[in-house]
Amino acid sequence: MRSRIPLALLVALAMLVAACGGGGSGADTTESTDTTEPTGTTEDMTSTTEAMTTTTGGEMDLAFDAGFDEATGTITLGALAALTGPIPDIGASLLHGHELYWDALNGDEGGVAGMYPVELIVRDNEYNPEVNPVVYNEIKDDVLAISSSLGTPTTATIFEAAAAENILVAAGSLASQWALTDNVPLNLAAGTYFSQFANAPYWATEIADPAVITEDSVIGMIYQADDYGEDCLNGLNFGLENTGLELSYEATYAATDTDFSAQIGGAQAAGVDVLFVCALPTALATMLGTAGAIEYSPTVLGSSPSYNVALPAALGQGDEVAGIGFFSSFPYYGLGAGPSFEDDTPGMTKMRESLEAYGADIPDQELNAFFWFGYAQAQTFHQILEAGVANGDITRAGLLGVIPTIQDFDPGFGGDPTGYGPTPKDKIPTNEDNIGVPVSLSERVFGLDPVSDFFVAPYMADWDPAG
Amino acid sequence: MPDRHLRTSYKEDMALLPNRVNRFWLTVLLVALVAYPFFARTLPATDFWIVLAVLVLIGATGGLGLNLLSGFAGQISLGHAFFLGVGAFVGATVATPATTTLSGVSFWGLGWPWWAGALMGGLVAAVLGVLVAPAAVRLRGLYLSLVTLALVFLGEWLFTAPALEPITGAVRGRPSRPISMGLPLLDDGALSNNESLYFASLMVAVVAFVIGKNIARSRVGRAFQATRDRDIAAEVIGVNVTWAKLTAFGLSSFMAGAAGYLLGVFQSNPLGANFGGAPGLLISVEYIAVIVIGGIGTVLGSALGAIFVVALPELVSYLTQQGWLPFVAATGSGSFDEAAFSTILFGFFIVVFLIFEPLGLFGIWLRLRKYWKGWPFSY
Repeated sequence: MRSRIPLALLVALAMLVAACGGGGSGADTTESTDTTEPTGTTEDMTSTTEAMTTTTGGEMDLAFDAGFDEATGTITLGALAALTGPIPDIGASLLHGHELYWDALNGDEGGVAGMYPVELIVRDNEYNPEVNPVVYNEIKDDVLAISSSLGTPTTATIFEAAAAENILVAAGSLASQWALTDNVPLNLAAGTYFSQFANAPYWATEIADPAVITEDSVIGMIYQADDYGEDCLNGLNFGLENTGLELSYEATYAATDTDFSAQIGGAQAAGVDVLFVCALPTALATMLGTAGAIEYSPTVLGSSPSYNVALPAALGQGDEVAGIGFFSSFPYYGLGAGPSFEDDTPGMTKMRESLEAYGADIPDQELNAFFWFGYAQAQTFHQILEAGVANGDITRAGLLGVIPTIQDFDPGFGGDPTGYGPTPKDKIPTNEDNIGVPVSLSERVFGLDPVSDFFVAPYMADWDPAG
Repeated sequence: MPDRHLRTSYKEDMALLPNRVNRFWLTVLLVALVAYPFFARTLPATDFWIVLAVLVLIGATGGLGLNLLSGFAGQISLGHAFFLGVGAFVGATVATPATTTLSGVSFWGLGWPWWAGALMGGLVAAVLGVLVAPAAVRLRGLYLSLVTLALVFLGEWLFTAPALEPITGAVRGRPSRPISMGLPLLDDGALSNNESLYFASLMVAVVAFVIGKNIARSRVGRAFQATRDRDIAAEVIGVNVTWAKLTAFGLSSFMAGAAGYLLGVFQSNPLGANFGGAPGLLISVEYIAVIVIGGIGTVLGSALGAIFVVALPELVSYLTQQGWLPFVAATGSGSFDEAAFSTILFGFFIVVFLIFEPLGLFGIWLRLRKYWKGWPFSY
């Protein structure tokens, strides 16, 4: 009899199972549940926090729920950065760029709308899909939104749970798939991986002089085996299809791979003379080193996150000039080069001023395209917060609602004005791209010298991320 | 009246819960585990504490599977991540409805209840485990570990193969539907997705530990241990060694598959690349750490090891962020940070356990238990 006590508890657990509604809610069974492409709309989402209002400057009420301190007016945002794991350099650069923007906003203007300072809670997601949900859950109750979550596969693990609580998650990622969501706004100042690779064949055949790709070129691609790589691949296929070219060779690698002999050797065996690479910097460096070792030198076009200012010195064994010469020997073209640190555009001028005023402790090696990306991502989130304040509503649901209203915003980095809209196609802020080649850091702080203006291939007007 | 710990019959020796003390503490433990998520509701960062427990429960279930194979049956395996991956994708296919994404990627799915996902994930993994077992009949030690190591590289290809995209999502991963439960005792009857996943993980873990405890104390467990200690001698005394190894691989893979399904739900979009190749090997090594630290060849040790290996880094991070470890800096600060502290602590404890306490945390538990049994006397 006594031995039945634990048994009774097991039965109670079993009854809990019996009380379960199966694997999910009834509604789920009929809806698309792809975690990378949710179908829920803002109206479908249910907030678990209760909205309150405060009076701002005695003039208007501001509705708020989580991540807002009524007493001080402080808005608290979360940042999930990759400070350890496979890409700590990128993670640190992106985070420090992000922090610089908020520091400058708080210091120069007093915060959002001149009165709401922004505070960041930072956690390390290790670029690990298992860690990201843990750190997200650790801070989500204390923040209004996640203004930076580094990585495509990592962000894919949290954005659905965030959507269920109306939490915005700005991914540190240029994957076009985020345009299929309601709660992951893309960076207003940057194109997607898809657009980088879709535009590239147009630039290589129509703009570059001499042409980088001809009708005799044998085109290949090596890409990271995840969402990031697939977005690049889809973009390249779209671009090649519209320029009458074809992909002759493709190979994947895992994000943690360190040996690329098979992929590079395969490209060489296939006679590839134009090689597209969608990778992270360490992988690109190893690939090029492997190619150099087997005296294989195709023209290489790499995605924006594949190049890092530290690569030339690393490949030149400490000699930056030799490293740049090594890159030029292929040659190497960086897609999505973005603006240069030295540009006289309003946005870059402001960033330089902010750096001087608030960036005393940021190391030089972190001033790169990732640093700029983090900065621009904060700028994007700032626009969303400004729209929310102007609308008198910075609740989580309120912020989701104002995103489509952000139109014709000029980030100030040399591209056309951008914005969002209600459809997946509208949620891609820009398809603009530019191309750069490696140069010495003494010439360009970000390490890439643009060889093209911002441009868009004409066929990009036909692209809809929803298919 | 006989001492409560003195077993006077074979029946008592074989009892799952031999005395009142065992039954009492098991009852307390189960009540505490059921109450945990409701207690967590009163804490700051509620979901953090719940997902941490989810990961511990998943680690304990998967760790127990490996402990049965390596600790009890003596078969070294570096391929545990492969079976976790199989469970993640099979379970997701069973428990998630068929769907076509906006960009046209179609996923197979049955939309069955979550427990069917865990069961089928476990069963398919078990079948694959049994297929691998014949290699263990002919090999042992390092040679066997190399065969199982090959599994994670097979998984790297299998889980990302375009031909299997409707199941695994190839390089993009596939959705694994959140688990949703209701609890009539609650006011609104609803549990959050994280709480539901917690209870699902708890139920799977309870079932796995009951199975594990039964195996450890019964004929099957003794056959495993005889095979581990000296397989030729075991065969001489009548143990069917082939059958024992086959069963060990099957059971181990089943538990890994069930745990893998839950891990896939936790990740919401399990990615094949994370279960194969180098990441897969890392996962397999982590599970080895779970049983080494917890206690090789013990059932309880799998749970204790999971608590240590899974929760320690997150707890260090949390305590650092709360300012309770003033000598540790935040990650990324460039000085002695939480990531470095966790890694050093982890390595330190593995060395300490291997040298001073080969039975792991379970050994410490045994000594504590013996001490309190005799208290206030030292004998």
